[in-house]
Order: sequence, then structure tokens, then C-alpha cells
Amino acid sequence: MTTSTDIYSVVRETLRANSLHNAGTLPPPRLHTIAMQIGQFLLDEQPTSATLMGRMLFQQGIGLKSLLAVVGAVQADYLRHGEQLRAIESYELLKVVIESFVEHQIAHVRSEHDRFRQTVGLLQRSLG
Amino acid sequence: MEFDPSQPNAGRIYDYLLGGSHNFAVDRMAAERLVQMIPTIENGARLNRWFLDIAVNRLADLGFNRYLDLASGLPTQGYIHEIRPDALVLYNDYDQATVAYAREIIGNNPRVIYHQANIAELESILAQAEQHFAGERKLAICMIGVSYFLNDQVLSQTLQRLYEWCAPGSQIAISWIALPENPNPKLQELLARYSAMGSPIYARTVEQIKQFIAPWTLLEPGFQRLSEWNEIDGTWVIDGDRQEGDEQSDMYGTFMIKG
Repeated sequence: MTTSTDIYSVVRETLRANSLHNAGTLPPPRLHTIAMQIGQFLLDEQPTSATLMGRMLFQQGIGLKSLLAVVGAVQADYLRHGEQLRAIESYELLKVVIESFVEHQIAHVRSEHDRFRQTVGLLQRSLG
Repeated sequence: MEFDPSQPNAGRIYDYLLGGSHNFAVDRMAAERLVQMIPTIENGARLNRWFLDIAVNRLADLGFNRYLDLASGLPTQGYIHEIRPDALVLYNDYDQATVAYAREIIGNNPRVIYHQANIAELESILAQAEQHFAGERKLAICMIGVSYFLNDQVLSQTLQRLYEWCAPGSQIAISWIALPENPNPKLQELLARYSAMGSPIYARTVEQIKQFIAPWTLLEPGFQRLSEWNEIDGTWVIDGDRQEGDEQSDMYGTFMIKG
């Protein structure tokens, strides 16, 4: 059976191996805290917090590739321990996390592009 | 320098390499060409930005609350005022568009000022620092991702003048790129591309870099690779592009103090 230590280790090692896919806001030394948060989230199995987790991971600077790698690694670990049901449940949970993550990412990029265009427009007008 | 969105800009290319949105198609195309040449160049940008985070937090832990950041570029993707919202920060950059957009990003925050000046016009920056920091000259100074864009004379004069101007106990965090004396063809092409954009990279060996440190005192752990600062294994930042004789190619981070 997968323990909290196992799942934390799997998440932490996966995040570290994918650290260069994360944002400039998230130095690798800080990944262990996020690994603990994800590990705790998986063990709590609270679907209501999946959306919040997606937003939190985006705001912390986790990259989509890192997140997808975590999903794959967690599934593989559960299956390796013969825990098919937990693999399915965690997949359903993480699917909601990814959806929330991507929604926030898209909204952020759109907002940043709009601001950038506005500022460039103002600058071009001020320069005549 | 005039604002010309039809020409690639080193600051906006850097933002793109960090995964930012503050860039034009021309910048993204230029960045992709650089990535094709040196696939790990994005890694270097991230290691630099992460080192900034490490530097700001290390300096904050030592009690610093005033930051002078030189040649700042766009303060996005985790910059000083985001890492330490309580700090007084002075940014600067020579590029008009960068400064205009940076001020928009910062918004109405009296603790943070973005000053338009070339790092070679250090007196203008120092005059602004005198005002913003209310005469307090014991500062944390950041030169992250900057040193290799300065020629020997400007780099030497900048470090010397900063040393003269700031108060004892001030610290400076700098990142460096060490390149072999005879760069391989891929590195030469990369250097040529940056030169063509008006932002030449000055290739220096580790031994040459060390000559710039005096009169500052190098702090522990000395010259350390950015991969080590970021607790990432190996020296593979530009390993993928490494050729025989390039063993000294890497990025380093240092902290220095005015004793």
C-alpha cells in the first residue's frame, strides 16, 4: 500500500526532475513544500479543493509539463502497488486540478497580453 | 534608444525565454532561433531568475530592506518587489518601452521606482538611489543577468563606483557567464546574434571574471555554479551544447561585500 511518505517522495522527485519546466518564480529549493501540499491533497481526497489546488499550483509557478508528469508518476506508483481503485480516483481528482490550472493559465496570459498591448499602444501614441 | 517594436529586443526575448507574455512576434522568432542554436538557453534564463530569488531572500535574511537592481529588464516572473513586497526597490533600464511597461506592471507603489537610465550612466542611477533610499547607502545591490552584457571598461567602472558610493556592509549579488577563450562555432553564432541585436555578450573565462571582483570581498561559498545555487545536479546548463575544450562554460553566482 502506498503511504504518505511514498506519495510525497514520488511527487517531490517528479517535480525536481521537471524543475526547468516551472516558472521563474519557483526556484527548485522551494519544490519540497509544494510536493508536501500535493501529497497531502492526494491523501485527503477532497474533490472540493481540487479547483483551489489547480489555482494554487499555477500561482506558485508550477509548469503544465511538471503537473502532467506528476499525474503520470502518481498513477504509475499506485498501479505498481496494485492500487487500481486509488489510481482511478486520483486521476479523476487530478483531472479537475489540471482543468482549473489551465483555466487560470489562459486567463492570466490573456490578461497579460491585453495589458501589454494597451501599454504598447499608449507608448506608440506618446511617441507620435 | 528609440522604441521599435519591429526589431527584436534582448529584454523581451529574455521574458519570452522565461515563459512571459511581454514580447512581440519578432522577439519570439528571434528567441526561437536562439533556442535552435543553443537548446538549453531557456534553462540559463530560469537559473538566472531563480538565483535572483535566492539572492533577494538571502539578503533579506541578513536584514537588507533596500534593493538597487541594475539593468532590470521587465520586472515579471518573480521580481524583487514581488519577492519582498515590504522592501524599497529601485529598478532601472535603458529601454524606453521596457521602462514604460515596467511602470505599468508595478503600478502605484511608492516603495518601488523604475528609473530610465543606461547602467553606464551610473551617476544618474545613484542620484535616484540617494533620493529613493533617503540617503541610506547600505544597500543590497543586484546585477543578475547583466555582467556579460557589459564590456570590460563599463563593468570595471560600475563595480568600482558602486564600491566607492555605497556604505560599508553593502552587498552585491552578481551572476556571470564563463565561456572558453575560443568558443565553439555554436557559441560564436550565439554571440554574433546578440551582437546583431545591439546587445553583445562579452565572453570571459572564470579567471578573467575573478579580476573584476576587487575591491569587493567575495563571500562564501565563493564562485558557485547557478545549478548548485538552485540545487540542480550537474553543470549541464549548456552541457547539451558543450564541445571539447568547453569545460569552463557555465553560469555562476557570487555574493560580494564592502567590508
